[in-house]
Amino acid sequence: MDSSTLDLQPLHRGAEADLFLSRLPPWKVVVKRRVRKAYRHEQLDASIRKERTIKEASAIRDAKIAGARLPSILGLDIERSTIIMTFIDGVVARDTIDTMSNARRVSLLEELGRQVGFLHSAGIMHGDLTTSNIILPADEKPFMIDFGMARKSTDHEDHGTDLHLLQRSLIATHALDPTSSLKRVAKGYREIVGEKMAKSSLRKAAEIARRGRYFAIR
Amino acid sequence: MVAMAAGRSRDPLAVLVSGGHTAIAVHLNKRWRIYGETEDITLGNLLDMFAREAELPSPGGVAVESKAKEGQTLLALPYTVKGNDVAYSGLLTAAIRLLKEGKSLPDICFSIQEVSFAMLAEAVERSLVQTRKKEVLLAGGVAANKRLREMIQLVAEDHGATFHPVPIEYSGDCGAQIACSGRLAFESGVTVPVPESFVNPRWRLDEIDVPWIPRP
Repeated sequence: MDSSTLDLQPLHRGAEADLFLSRLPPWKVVVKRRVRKAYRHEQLDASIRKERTIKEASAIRDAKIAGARLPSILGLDIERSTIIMTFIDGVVARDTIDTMSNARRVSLLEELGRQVGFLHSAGIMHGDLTTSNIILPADEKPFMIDFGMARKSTDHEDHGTDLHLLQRSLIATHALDPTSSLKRVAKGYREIVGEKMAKSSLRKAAEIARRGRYFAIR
Repeated sequence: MVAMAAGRSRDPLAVLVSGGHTAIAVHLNKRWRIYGETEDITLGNLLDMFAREAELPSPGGVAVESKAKEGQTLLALPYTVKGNDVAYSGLLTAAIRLLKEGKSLPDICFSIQEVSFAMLAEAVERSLVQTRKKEVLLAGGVAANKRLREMIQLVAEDHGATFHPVPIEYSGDCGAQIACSGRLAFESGVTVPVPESFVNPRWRLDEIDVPWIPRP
């Protein structure tokens, strides 16, 4: 579809894409547009933006089919490397996880584990799974957003990376006990992917954490 | 440290590009923390190894840069960025294949620079957005490359950061640099008894305490 006629309200400027709010009645929508990078050769830039837009859109579609909760795609404007998706009205998990009650946090962590489980069982890696990329609507059922780094993968290393990044963001910016929060995430994850796959992914996550260099990123 | 002084920078996102390093680092709590790096060969390795394969004179980076100036056409090469990390070995293999297929050497050199530098620029951009640093320091032998400088400068300015390229004379391998680090370490009380000292060419930047860098 042609996204050039939409009325765009700036929402966020990321490293790779600009996000805007708009309306596509009856929906309130988010318009994600990968912008031209002046440093990149024009031809290279165009092919990267196109390729990534398609890749992100297909990851979103596959994750949806697998049963994960995430925004729905309403339109694609490949020519302008733009994805139009439903706006999720809620709060960012990062800003609220510290202040919620213990019982609600426990159920949130388990549910996050299940959500990641849906992705991985469908062979998708999120690639940037932090509490900044999780939105909690009024009913507190988490939505995962920003599939800009997502890709197809059935590699335990990639699944471990997702779990490790989530775990790191839980303990780095939140006053959570690492062992018990990981246990909750692992419980939900195991429910979806099964014992065998959960074991390999979780083992990889622990291994990545031990390599240490990822901890330096904090 | 030499690079920071020579580049007139206090609290940079440091981009180190040489034969030994391709890394993006920030200074925090007495250490350099790696934000992104190469997963395999360095940018310096890539240019040197390709130059050797193409029988270009040494130093390879300079030869590739000068050939690239005559290049016009962008040839397809793998562009691999994973988060803030880059990987160059696939690009090297593909570039050597193009050479064996008889593609124009200037075009290959041009394409190697465009693709490999853009990969690094993207990783730098992501790190810059995450760290919100206001200075970008570019150091190491490959920092002498004009096209790379131009790209990193564009990234820095696009995010409201100032660009601090290290002057060429301080950019390459340099004994004074090592001596200077040694002196600063000594003055900060970091010493190693001679019998326990040895050569370690693979010392990781983020495994060394650098208490002498002033807190920004």
